[in-house]
This record gives sequence, C-alpha cells and structure tokens, in this order.
Amino acid sequence: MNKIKNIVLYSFAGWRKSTLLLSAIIIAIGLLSKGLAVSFNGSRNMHSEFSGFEITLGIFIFVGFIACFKNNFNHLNIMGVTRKTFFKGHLLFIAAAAVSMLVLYGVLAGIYMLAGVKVQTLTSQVYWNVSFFHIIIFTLSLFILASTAGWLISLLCYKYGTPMIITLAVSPAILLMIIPILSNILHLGNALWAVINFYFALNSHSSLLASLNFASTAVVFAFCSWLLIRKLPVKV
Amino acid sequence: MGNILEINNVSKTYGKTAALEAINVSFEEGKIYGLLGRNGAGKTTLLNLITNKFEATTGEILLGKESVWENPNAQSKICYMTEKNMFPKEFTVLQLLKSSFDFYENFDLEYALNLAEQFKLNIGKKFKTLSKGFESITKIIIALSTDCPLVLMDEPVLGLDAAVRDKFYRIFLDNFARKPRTFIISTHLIEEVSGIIEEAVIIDSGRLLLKKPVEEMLQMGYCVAGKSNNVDKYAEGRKVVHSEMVGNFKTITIYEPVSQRDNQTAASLDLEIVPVQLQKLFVHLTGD
Repeated sequence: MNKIKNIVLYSFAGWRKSTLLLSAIIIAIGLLSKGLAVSFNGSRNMHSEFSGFEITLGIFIFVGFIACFKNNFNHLNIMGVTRKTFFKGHLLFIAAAAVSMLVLYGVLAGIYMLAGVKVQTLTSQVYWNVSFFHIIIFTLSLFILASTAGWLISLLCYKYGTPMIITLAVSPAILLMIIPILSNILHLGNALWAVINFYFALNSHSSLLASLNFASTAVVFAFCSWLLIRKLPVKV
Repeated sequence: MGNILEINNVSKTYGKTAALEAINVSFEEGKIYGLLGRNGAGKTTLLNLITNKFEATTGEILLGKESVWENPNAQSKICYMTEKNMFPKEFTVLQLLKSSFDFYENFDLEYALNLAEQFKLNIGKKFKTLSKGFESITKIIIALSTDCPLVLMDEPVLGLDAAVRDKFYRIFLDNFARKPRTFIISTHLIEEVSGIIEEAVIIDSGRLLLKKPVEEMLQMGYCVAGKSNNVDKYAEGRKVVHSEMVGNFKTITIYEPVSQRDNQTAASLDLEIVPVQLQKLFVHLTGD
C-alpha cells in the first residue's frame, strides 16, 4: 500500500510544473480577453466568454499521460516495483489526476468569473437538463477517458517503438481521408453519424449517457493497458 | 550458508537470437560474486532477468524459494545498479536518494548523504547534468545504502578515475563488512575486482562456462618468467595460453596446476613462478 501511495505521489511530482504553467497561461488568456473586450468596447461592463475548459484540460491530461509513462515506468521498475503494483498505482493516479484537474477547473472557472469572464461549460452547451452533478460526472469521465487514452498510446509507443509512433502520427490524417471515401462507396454516412450521435449522446442530449460511454471506453482502454503492461519488457 | 538465488535452466531468446541458453547457477548468501564475460556474453541479460526487466523464455529464477518474476516481495529484496540510466532526467541527486528512501525498506539516507560527501558528489545537481563518473557514484551510493540481501551491480566503476575506483573498493569492502549480503558484480575490469570477489561466474556466448572460487581459479594456471631461451625450454610440452616478451625477458602463462616438479624445473632454469592473473585466465577461457 505504501508503494502504491508513493507511485501516485511520484507520478504527480512530474505534473506540478506543467500544471502551474498551464494554469498561468489560462489565467493570462482570461485576463487578456477581458482586457481586450473592455478596450474594444469601451465599457467595463462588456463581458468576454470562455467555453473551452473541459477540452483544454482534457487535452492537457491526454498529452501529460503520453509524456509521463516512460520515465515513471523505468524509474519505478529500478526501485523494485512490479508491473502489477505499477498498474494499480497508475490507476489510482488516473483517478487522482482527474479529480485534481476537476478541482483546477473549478478554481480557474472561479478566477474567470471573478474577473468578469463568462464561463460556459461544454456540458450545458451540448446537453439538456444539466445540473452541477451532471457537469461533475461528465467532466470527470471525460478527463478519465483522456488519461486512459494517453496512457494506452504511450504504452503502445513504448512497446512497439518508432513504427507505432509513425503509425499513430499519420493515422488520424489517413482516417480523415479514408472514412469519407469509404462512407461514400459503402453508403455508411448515416451509420457513422448514428454511431457518433450515440457515443456523444447528441440525439438524446443526455450528459449521463455520454459520461457512461466515456467511462466504458476508459475501462476498455485500461484493460488494454493491463494486457500490454503485464509482460512489458523494460527498455534498458 | 544457503543459496539466496537459484537460476534453473534459464534461457532468453530475442527472435532467433539466443542471449542465454539453459543457465543453471546458484548464488550463496553473504558472498561477493564476479559475473564475468565478454561483450554480448549475456551478463546484463541475466541481471535484467533477475530484476524483472523481462521474462525468461524458459526456466525459473528463485530468490529464496520464490520466483522473482512479478513478485513484489522478491523484488523488494533486490537492488540493481544498472549500467544505463533509468532514473528520471529531471531529478536531482538528493531527489533520487529520497526516492530510494521511499521505495526501499531500511534505506540508510544518512549513510547515503555521508557517502555523497566522501565522494564529493553535489547532491543539489540534476542527475542528467552529472558526468559519467558521478552518475556511477550516485548509483553506487544508492546500491550501498540499501539493506537488500541481494545487490546487483552492472559495471559499477564505469567512468571512475583510478583514485575514485580505489576509494570505491575500500568503501565497498567496509560496507560488506558492516552488512554482509550477496553482491553480484558484473565488470570488464577483471583484474581490479579479483581482489574483492570470492567467486567468479563466467558466461560465454550465453552459456555458463565456469563457476569457481577465485582462489581455485588462480590455481588452474600459473606464470613463468625469466630469460627467453630458458622460458622456451620450460614451455616445451606444456599448455601455454599466453606469452609476453620485453627485451630478452619473457613471461608465459600456463593453463595447468603447478606441481612440485614444475617448481624444481623452473628453479633449475633460473625462472620465477608467479601466480596467474585472473584476467589472463579469463581471456584464455573465453576463447582468445
């Protein structure tokens, strides 16, 4: 248990600087947007608006988890931590990182509101009947999905090296080219939209359904990560 | 004393290449072993298998009676000083020592800080900015400050100058006297470690070639030195594995135990018999 606690603490240590930097940038952007809104409109009552916290922090978590795996895995292995203990510790780290990012989200949104910048949540823009509880559940599940996705990608890159890095780098572009072509040839347009609508719950406008989909995907990603990590050779 | 580590029929292959083939060897508690072998012999692979870096293709490695593979209990009893750097690049030396304190039970932080002072290691410096020698010193300090019953060191003196190496050997022996445990030292500086290791394990092309106490190994051969023509006379019919000549003075290494009769023959030819060097024996045993 002590080792798992240390794994979480050491994993967090690597995030401290980048999280502070990100917070400073977001606060600076908020103040700048308020300043620009006031100077262009000539009234202190003019408000600016920001609605990208979930996406911004989600991308930050995703990239952060891609970046932190190799160092943590090698360091902890040399300290005698087994893959299973590392996996357990990392799952706890994912949960802790998601919660801490949610708290950061709250703090940053509070600072924005104090500065007179209107904050819109993604949840309330896309979904209906959204309460505070819905926003928390949706944002948490989004952050957990982002972290498990980043972790899985970093594991794939660690295990398969350069060929996997190249594949993952070019695959979004190739998919964006191939999907419309296949969609036209096979008349998959409606089916694709149906899948996207279902996954993001765009038809039902239920944030809980979208959260459930994100959480389920995160579980699948975590399971795939376990399959990859349980016999993963340490690159020495 | 009982065995602390048993390696039973362990093989490791990478694709079609066999790095280790059916290795069977055991290590006793409280002894210092030298793991010797030429480049690519499989020494580091063996150490990596013991420390859970990857899984053996066949066979098992037991620490006490437990398998080492994915076993937190077994792994917490092993400290591995790798040749390559596996620490986070951004950590300072002090952070590394503290992280070792957090992960190893009974890590002696005070002793580690004391060693850092003795080696004049700046603990405030980031690990990535250290010279090769100070990187090795940091890793040595961590290995010696743990209380693990099995300590593995892969090229511990890499990048250290002669004076620091000498200091390391003294501190190492002092540490061993204070806390006797099993050390396995993999190194190419055979002659230097021959004074501290009790038993040598030689691996050649992925196979276990020999495991013997150093004293016994040194009795497997001897050197004869003297005037070149007398040495040549002495060498006739004997298994000479190495020869060196400086002017008219010749030294040969013979791969046979020295007998009373050999001593008499050497004396009659005005030759001197001296103990063989472990390195010469190693070079002979591993093929060149």
